[in-house]
Amino acid sequence: MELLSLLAYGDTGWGDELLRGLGVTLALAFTTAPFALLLSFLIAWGKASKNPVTRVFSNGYTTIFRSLPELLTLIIIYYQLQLVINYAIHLVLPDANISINAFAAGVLALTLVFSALGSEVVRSAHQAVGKGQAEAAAALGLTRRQSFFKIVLPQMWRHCVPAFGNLWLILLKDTALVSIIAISDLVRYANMAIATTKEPFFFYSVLAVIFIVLAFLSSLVQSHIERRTSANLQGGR
Amino acid sequence: MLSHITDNIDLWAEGLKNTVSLTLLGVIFGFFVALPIAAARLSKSNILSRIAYAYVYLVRGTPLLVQIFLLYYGLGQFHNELKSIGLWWFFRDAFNCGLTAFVLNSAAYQAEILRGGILAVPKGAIEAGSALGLTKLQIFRKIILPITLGRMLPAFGNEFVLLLKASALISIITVRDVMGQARFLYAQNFDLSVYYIAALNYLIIVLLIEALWRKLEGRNVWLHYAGGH
Amino acid sequence: MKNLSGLAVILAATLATGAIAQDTVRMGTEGYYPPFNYFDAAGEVIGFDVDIGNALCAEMNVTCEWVTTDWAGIIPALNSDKFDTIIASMSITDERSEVVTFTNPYYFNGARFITVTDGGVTGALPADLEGKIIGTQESTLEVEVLQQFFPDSEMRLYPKLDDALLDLETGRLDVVYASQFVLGAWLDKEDGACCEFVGETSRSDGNQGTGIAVRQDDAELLANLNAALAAIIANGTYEEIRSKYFEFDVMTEPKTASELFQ
Repeated sequence: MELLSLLAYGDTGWGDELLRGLGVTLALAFTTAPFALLLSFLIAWGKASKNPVTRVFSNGYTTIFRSLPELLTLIIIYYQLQLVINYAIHLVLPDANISINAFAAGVLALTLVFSALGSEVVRSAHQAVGKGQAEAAAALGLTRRQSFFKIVLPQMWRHCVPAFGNLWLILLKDTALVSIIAISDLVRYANMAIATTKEPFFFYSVLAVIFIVLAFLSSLVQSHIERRTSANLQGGR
Repeated sequence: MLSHITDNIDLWAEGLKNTVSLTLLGVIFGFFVALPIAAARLSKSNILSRIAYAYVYLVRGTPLLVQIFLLYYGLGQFHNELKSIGLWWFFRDAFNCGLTAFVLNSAAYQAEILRGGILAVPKGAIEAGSALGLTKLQIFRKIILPITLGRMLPAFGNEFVLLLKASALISIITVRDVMGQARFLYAQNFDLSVYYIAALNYLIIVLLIEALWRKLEGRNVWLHYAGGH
Repeated sequence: MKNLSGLAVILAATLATGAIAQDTVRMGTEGYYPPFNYFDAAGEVIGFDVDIGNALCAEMNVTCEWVTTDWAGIIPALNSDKFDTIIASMSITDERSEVVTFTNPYYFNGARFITVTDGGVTGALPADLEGKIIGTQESTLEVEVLQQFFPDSEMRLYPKLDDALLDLETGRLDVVYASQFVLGAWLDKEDGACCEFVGETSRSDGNQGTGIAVRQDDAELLANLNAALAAIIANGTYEEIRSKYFEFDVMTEPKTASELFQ
């Protein structure tokens, strides 16, 4: 089919551009994930804090980033952060100009949104494990740190993994939004191709296929991880 | 910032109207489209359940942005063919295309909620129903639905909020919802506060939805079936 | 690779102490506005704006580095130091001059309506387009003209002009209002076979020509650009570039919108 020739590699087709876009999409998702994961735990910890200010901040943070459309969050962070940084820098070094690259802004925005979503996952996983575990650990003489990292956290994973897997899939899809603030990801390259070839149905269908493949691969990895984290709960040593 | 609101109150009102109607219609129509999909998923027929599974997998695996583009620009490519079967008048309109994308999208997610809820009904209750001589439809309406509706309420509330957030994407295909108005006003004055006004709009709507849902859940406490597997 | 550079940037934001002192000038443009700025098959941005920009850099003895971004965010991006100039066929207006500074105009862009041939649109005055659907790109001067002189028509705004052209072809729009040069280039191609111009060329009352935008505190770059522009016009380089793209003169000023539409 002549349509497929549009995907050729090199100057005649858009295959290499789409591949480049795919690389950016994956880079965005893979860069965001670890930061969002870490921040999720921090925010969840903040929600359980004894300090009311920390609690209010953590809950407010979660409410805001869970309630706003991701597109809006992306745009606000992309423009506002730059202004804030410029202003702060100018107070100290009036001649300097620090520029936040679009990729970094995209990662930051996505991290903030997904850490808000992730903190809820962590919180409910922690509740699922229950106070009993932490109390037993304390009774056995373990410090709070040891009790968390050696007893509670390993049990939390079983509850976290499916939900985090879900968030990963959502993250993969949300990276498509950066195309609107001009990061050249998969969707933006597809738009470029469509502007020249006038074949929107074909290229958007190709995009759909690519995302399905990514989702499928992700679910394979997730099943593998789930099996491994649940395995040590079955049977004895 | 206040002047951005008061000077353009008619724009913001129109934006709110579009956002709220898109979300409401999307959720409601999505529910009705979800019913047959959930039924197909749970059906004994292998083919039906596979088709339904494929649909849900497709919709949940692709970004909503791509789905919107497919329906708006993709179908636009076939406007002549659509004209000949008399459907072009519908897909011509950006609001309709966006709404269709939202309905098809939300239906997939709502179908999964329904399926999960129905599967969680204890078999005992259903068997009791057949023992009493009720037809399948009666069992569904009088036993399954009341039990699961209460259970699924939080999940549906969540879906409502998710669709509200997703509705902002329609601003990319020329519809002037809250997000669209913010983009329009920003182009005139480059003042970020218009985006903050939009953010406030969404926050308020979400808080309203959550308040409404708390009332609904409170009312239906008696529907919470405590039985387990 | 994008991964590593992205990571590096997150850990250490780039520091640039004043673009003027460098040998590289970053030129910001859009890429969806042929023949002024558009992407070739290799994904590089080319066009009239790019050629003029490169000629200016050669004249100023600096290296040009081209950066593309979305149109709606191009001025904030300039002011956030993502690049040093905007050469994207941006019209000089008083409102824009409040947030950026423009060089002298390097051409005059007029806007015109196009419609589907035999589509029922015969004129392009406000009376002719009453009740019709007009498409244009968001954040452009065309939006202001339509709001001021065409209140009885429905206006649709698109992030990129070619989205509007797609919708014109499929019948969602009755007319598209945009730069006569961009539309002309499109009409000449196969995709534009459906359509034709209708009505005369005009420009928004506030349009003082198309210029290059720089940050308001970048006086040195502004002076250099103006000098370079005068130089390439004087030595014939400008003519050479212009004739590559257009058979006609692009420095004549079209009628203003109030002259035409009131």
